[in-house]
Amino acid sequence: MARLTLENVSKRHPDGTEALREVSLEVPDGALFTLVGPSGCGKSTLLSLIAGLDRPTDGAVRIDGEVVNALAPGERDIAMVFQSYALYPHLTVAGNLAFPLEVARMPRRERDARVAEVAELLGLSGLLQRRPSALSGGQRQRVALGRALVRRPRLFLFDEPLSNLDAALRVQMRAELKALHQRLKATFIYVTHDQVEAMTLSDQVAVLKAGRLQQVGPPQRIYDAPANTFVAGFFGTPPINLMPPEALGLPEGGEGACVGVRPVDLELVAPGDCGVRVARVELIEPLGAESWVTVEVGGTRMVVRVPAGQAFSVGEQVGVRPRSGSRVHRFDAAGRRQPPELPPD
Amino acid sequence: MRRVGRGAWLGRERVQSVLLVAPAVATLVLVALFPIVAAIWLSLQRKILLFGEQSFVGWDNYLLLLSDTRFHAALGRTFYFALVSVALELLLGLPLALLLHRAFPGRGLLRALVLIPWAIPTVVSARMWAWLFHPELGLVNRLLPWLSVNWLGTPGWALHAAIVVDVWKSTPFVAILLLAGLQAIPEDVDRAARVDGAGAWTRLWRITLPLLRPAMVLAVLFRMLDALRVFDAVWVLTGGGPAHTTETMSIYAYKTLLRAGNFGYGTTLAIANFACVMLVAVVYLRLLGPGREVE
Amino acid sequence: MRRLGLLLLGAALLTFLLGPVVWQARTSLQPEASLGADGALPFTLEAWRALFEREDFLWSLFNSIAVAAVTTLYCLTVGASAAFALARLRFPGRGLLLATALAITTFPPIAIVSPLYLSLRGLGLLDTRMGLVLPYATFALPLTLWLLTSFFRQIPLALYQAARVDGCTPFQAFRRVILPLAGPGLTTTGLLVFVFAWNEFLFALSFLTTPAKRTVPVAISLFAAEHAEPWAEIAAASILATLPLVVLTLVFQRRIVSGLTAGAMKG
Repeated sequence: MARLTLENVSKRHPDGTEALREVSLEVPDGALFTLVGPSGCGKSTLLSLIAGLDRPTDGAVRIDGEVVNALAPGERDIAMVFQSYALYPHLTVAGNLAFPLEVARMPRRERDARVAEVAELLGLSGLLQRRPSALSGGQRQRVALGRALVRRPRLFLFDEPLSNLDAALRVQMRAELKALHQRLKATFIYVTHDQVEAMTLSDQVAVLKAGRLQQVGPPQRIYDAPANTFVAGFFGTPPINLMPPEALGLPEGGEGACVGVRPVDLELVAPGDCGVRVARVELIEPLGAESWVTVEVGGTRMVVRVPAGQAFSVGEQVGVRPRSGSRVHRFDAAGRRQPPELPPD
Repeated sequence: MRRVGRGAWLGRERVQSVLLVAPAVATLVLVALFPIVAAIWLSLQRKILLFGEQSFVGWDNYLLLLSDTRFHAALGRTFYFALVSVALELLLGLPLALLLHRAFPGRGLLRALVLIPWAIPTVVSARMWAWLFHPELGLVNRLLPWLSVNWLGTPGWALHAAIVVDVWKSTPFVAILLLAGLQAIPEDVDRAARVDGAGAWTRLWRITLPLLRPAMVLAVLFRMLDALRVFDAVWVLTGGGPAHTTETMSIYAYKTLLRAGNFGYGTTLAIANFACVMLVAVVYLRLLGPGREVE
Repeated sequence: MRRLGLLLLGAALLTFLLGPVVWQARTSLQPEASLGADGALPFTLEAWRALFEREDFLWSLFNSIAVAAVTTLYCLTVGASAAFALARLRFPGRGLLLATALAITTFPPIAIVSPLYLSLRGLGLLDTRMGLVLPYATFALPLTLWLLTSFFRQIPLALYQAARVDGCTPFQAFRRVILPLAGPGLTTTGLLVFVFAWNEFLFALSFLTTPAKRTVPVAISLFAAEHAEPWAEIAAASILATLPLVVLTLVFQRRIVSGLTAGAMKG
């Protein structure tokens, strides 16, 4: 159990590229905290800094208030699950699990007990004598997890642990990780590029872009009140519709301003209904329980999530308007959120 | 299990790296760098072991090089040897590599067999070829009775016999390097060319060879550097004869050093050899332009 | 049609490359007297018998094995630890070390024969087999570093990082995780170093004078000095001198090829 604090952490690579710029955040004790962003945004670099595999060019990393910049990875009492799992190929599952304890010179009996305990917890008891090459992807992932658990560290770091699994397994492991977190009540720092993982797993999310922190907060708040167009566009599938206010007949908001309306917050009705803009159906993507319909209004395209009951055809004229009670996000020319949210009329 | 140790991790990493590297560095410095520096120092001296003579003469030895016709002859000969050898090795190595690139049963065995000339000590192969080139009993003259040349005893032919030995030994090495280059070319490129209607010869000339260029360049560089320093094969084959006609720079240096015991000038000759090698390397790399990464 | 052409070409090249070796073997099995004669010739082992009576030559085989083995061991030990540091750790002078090692390989051995001769004489190591190991190791070390560094780089970085996070110091990570996985790389490098040490001629020629201490290349080159060119015996000696290496090459062909290419193509 530990608190993590990052104070103005920056990282510049020897070749001059700035991987991280003045990132500050506070991870409460016991939280599942996710760092999310597109590839290259610096999230993995940040994780390396927290782990001690690399050093910040500036700023401080604190664990439980104590500055750990100068500590080696092995001295920070942290454990890490790597994207590639990084299982030791020449050791058995038992050997892999026992490795950190051996390095720490834990007595044999205690070591064996811990390994057995973790193996039991993760369902690995029958696999202890196998080598990593003889395991499936999901099993390897568990061993990687086990190697981290066995040390009972104060901080767990996860570097995109699910990205090498197939879709079905990913969903299952996600749920298991969440359950594990609730059971251990430990602090998890989780890195992913997948916004669905970020949303479903986290207590709090930090969004990164090009080395800079964009927003921090609980997932629902990030979704409901994105701080800028980037964050708005990152979460939600299909992505939020960003357009000039006039496209939907909304009041103007100043030079270069735009509005964002999520596909689920739009509805398609008859062209004559009140408050609509007349649009032309361009593309229909059926998904079973719903369809994603792309419509075009005066040069602007937007995607609408349409429940299964409604049917449209390409080229048809429809009316599009925000649903009553739904949220319209306003952003200024720089992409930043503008506080007053205009309720649709 | 909390371990909060003290220790600048970068510092610890540095200390351990230095310890890991120290033995290698010590070996290199003591047994290589030190003699190299000593050699350079020696080259500036007049030191004749037998007479116990030793005096510092500065650049005199190097000035002597400029007027030493025997050295000039050796220089020309060595370059001739290197250029012809390497050209032939490339010419023979390329078809061999292309052959080995195709998948066929027994390819592994063939590759192993092809490596044998490379594995045989140079000295032994020189002896082998000396036997083949024997004027009366050698296979070469028995297969070509109308030619009947005294290969190792005739001034014009001896150097070319040495070239044959070098080519024989080094072609496998060149072939292996080229093979690696071939294996690095994505299959799809060749497939696309076939779909585009290119015949085998066209594909070779316009797709394979251009893509093989980095490997060829590397092979030529390595071989040139080695060929300019050739010693073993020629020494055992002809000892520099007949009448100095196969005396390469290194053989001339060797004779001066250990036969005449003239350590000063002998070392100068050897360093001159080195300078040639360096010059070729630099010119070569410069000609190829930036982007040539030789770590 | 094209396949036939390629086959012929292959056969021609193979004949060129292997013919001399086969001929040498044939020669070694001929009686000395009938060496120049044509036609079907008797097989005999007299050359081989004579060879095995040459104590000096048999000693030279032993010497070569000893010197090559010790050199290989030394290079692998010293080289592996250095290569690991070069591949994974940061320290000042890293680039310089690699560049210097490269430069050393281009220096003609002939130039440092004299300083080494004088040093070895001073240390009393002249005309000893161990006195040969140091210069050998030094010239094989750059090759070792080059190859092993590239092999170590191929071992995923994440494994080293995982070991560090699990509490290992760099050295512990090297010993417990990286080294066990470096088997193939060490074998390949060891083979190439062994071949290099076995084949080395100049230093062996210059630093060893007692016939009983000579290595194989020197022994072969000086063979004829005692008699008037016993070609059949020389042929037998050549085959024997080459046998260990040929066997090694045939068995480890794949490793050797990957080593040559890794070293050349800069991992």
